[in-house]
Amino acid sequence: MKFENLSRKSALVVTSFILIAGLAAGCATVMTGTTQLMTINSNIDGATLYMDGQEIGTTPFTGTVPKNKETLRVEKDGYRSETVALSKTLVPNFWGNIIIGGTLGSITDFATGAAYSYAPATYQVELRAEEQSSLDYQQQLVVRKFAMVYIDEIARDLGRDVGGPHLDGLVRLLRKCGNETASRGDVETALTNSRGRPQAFGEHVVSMI
Amino acid sequence: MLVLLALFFLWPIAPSSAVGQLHNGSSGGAFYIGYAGPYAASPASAFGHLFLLHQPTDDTPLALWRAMTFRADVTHMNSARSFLQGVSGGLSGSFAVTEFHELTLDYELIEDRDLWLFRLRLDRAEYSAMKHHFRESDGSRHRYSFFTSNCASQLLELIRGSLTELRSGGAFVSPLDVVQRLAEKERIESAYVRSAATRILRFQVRELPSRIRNHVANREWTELASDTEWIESVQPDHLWFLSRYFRYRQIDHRHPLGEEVAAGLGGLRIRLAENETPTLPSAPHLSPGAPTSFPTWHPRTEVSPYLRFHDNRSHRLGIRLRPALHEEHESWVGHRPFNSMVLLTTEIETAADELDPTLSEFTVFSQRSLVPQDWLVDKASWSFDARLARGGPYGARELHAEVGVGIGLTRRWHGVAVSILPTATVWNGLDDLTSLHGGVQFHVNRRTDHFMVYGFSGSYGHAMIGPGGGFGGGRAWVGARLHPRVAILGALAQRQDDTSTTLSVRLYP
Repeated sequence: MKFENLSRKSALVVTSFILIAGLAAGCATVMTGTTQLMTINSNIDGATLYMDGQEIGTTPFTGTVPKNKETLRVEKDGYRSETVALSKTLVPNFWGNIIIGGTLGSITDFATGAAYSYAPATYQVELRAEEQSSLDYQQQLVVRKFAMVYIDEIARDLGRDVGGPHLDGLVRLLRKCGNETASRGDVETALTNSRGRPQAFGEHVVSMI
Repeated sequence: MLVLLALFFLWPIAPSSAVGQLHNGSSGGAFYIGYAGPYAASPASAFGHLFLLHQPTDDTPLALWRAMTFRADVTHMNSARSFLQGVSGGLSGSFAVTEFHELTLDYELIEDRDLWLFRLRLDRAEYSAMKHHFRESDGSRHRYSFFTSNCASQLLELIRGSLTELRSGGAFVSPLDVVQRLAEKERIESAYVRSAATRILRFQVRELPSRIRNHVANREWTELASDTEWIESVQPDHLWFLSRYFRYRQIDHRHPLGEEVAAGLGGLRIRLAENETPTLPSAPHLSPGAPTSFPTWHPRTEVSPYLRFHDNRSHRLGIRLRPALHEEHESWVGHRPFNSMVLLTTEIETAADELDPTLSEFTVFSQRSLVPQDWLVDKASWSFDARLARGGPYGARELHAEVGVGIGLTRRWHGVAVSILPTATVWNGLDDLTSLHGGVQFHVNRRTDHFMVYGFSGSYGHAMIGPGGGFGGGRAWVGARLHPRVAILGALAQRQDDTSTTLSVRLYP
């Protein structure tokens, strides 16, 4: 067997090169550039959106935004401005992202709070009116989020004579928010009127509070 | 007298005072321990995650139960930094209460993890105490350390506030340790499992008529979701499967949905609301939320005495100590098939006829994430190894260090998973000999009914830079679980010019 000496440094450089090449070839789908197409909605149209202090547009917004920004601020006269932290979501089961630290392979996602995702690259930000109490705002946020995120499950429960946990959950939330007469019939009407679209369904449901 | 005796035995009996003391939830509320299985994408989630779940009243829908979790605060921190700080104990963490539906959205769908719920057996006083601790802990902050102050150890302390008989921490507490400690004290009343999204979809697609199955497997999902005519033609019985399938597909979709897709999904929801959609048949252990028997997991620590026969007639005795985690020959439930992770494992052996203990192998860290690709999942498989071992390219008995990575793919045929991973490995002979080998690694794995497993793995690499030439080997193995704490393993290995047979007993103390 032939033995030679090789500096560790040069071996590491070559290894790094091969690994990076391998990552690029093996998972090209995650390296899709530094921008991404995104939709951002809010409960009030016309709110101005800032990413890391830079204005990107107003709600309802659909456009290309830079990845790896840290904060999103949403402002509208008469409403408290909302700043939400942006987090990075790793592509599941891809080890390279863990080593890289999410910089290349990450997409932008929102941490929990006033903003949430209910469809791919589509987010809803709940703004609080100046005169609105904290309790009212929280209830509105929870009801809308539950309705939008679980619209599939709620629709399925509506099709069952005995209902189901998500329909029951929504009716219960509405009653907790003061609508003592909320019923499955109201939810069914909201779903039909919204043509099964999450954002419209959320709006109809919140209007019942 | 006989009539009186018969009346005594047959008459409905009111609960005894002892039974009455047991808080069975009928008067409102119960606590559950939730366990989310390991998540291969993140080493920090390799042990799974634990949370405490409160059902406030009997009629509260599961989606609105309150879940208490302890998590590290890693906002604005990239994953490499959070991982390093988590391991070194430099993070802070906090208890937070969320609703169960938010947790399940993450675990079952986005991270595709199996979820177990264990209802706790509590008497009234214990239930009240736990409710108090649950409320008091919300928002409280503690130091986070992956090893000494993690989700499981913090939750264990919270639970011990009510159940003082549980053993306290230890050097490292994993989520399953807490479940096991509760089970040992007979504190687990019943168990439920909610399978990961892909498990359910894979199982249920087989129950669909071929007409639908072919569309689902062969058409791009956005095209299918936009085809309102086709969706209208689907029988109500299969609408829910379709809804779940589209929901799962949206996770990896990186752009907002187009108008046609949104309209198609909206139409599907209206049809769901207009039709009774029964749950498709599932295997008992796949039914979401169905009661299940208490699962048998192997404890993470393993001690394995072994006897190794070499073809040069030298026989060696050894012992292998694995402080943590899971390997491919361990067939217990709770881990995804074919995923393995080994941490700080030491193998020491000696000649059978003369005491000369030597370090045979020391694994710092080794992980395989072999995810079979199919019509539903399109993930890369990968491996990472960092170890000291003998028998490398610089000589059969020479100790060397090796660090290797591989990225490739896995396919499954009739329950057998075959993985092929191109690899790059750096070898270091501990005496300034260093070489870089490019090569390939392959694995064939099979598990049968969580009892017996067998497989084959092999690798070959050639020195692209430095000494060592070509180097490779293979290992075939078969293992069987005899008892929750005992398994046996037989392996036939070939490495360069050495063939060996190993018989080992795997003990889980």
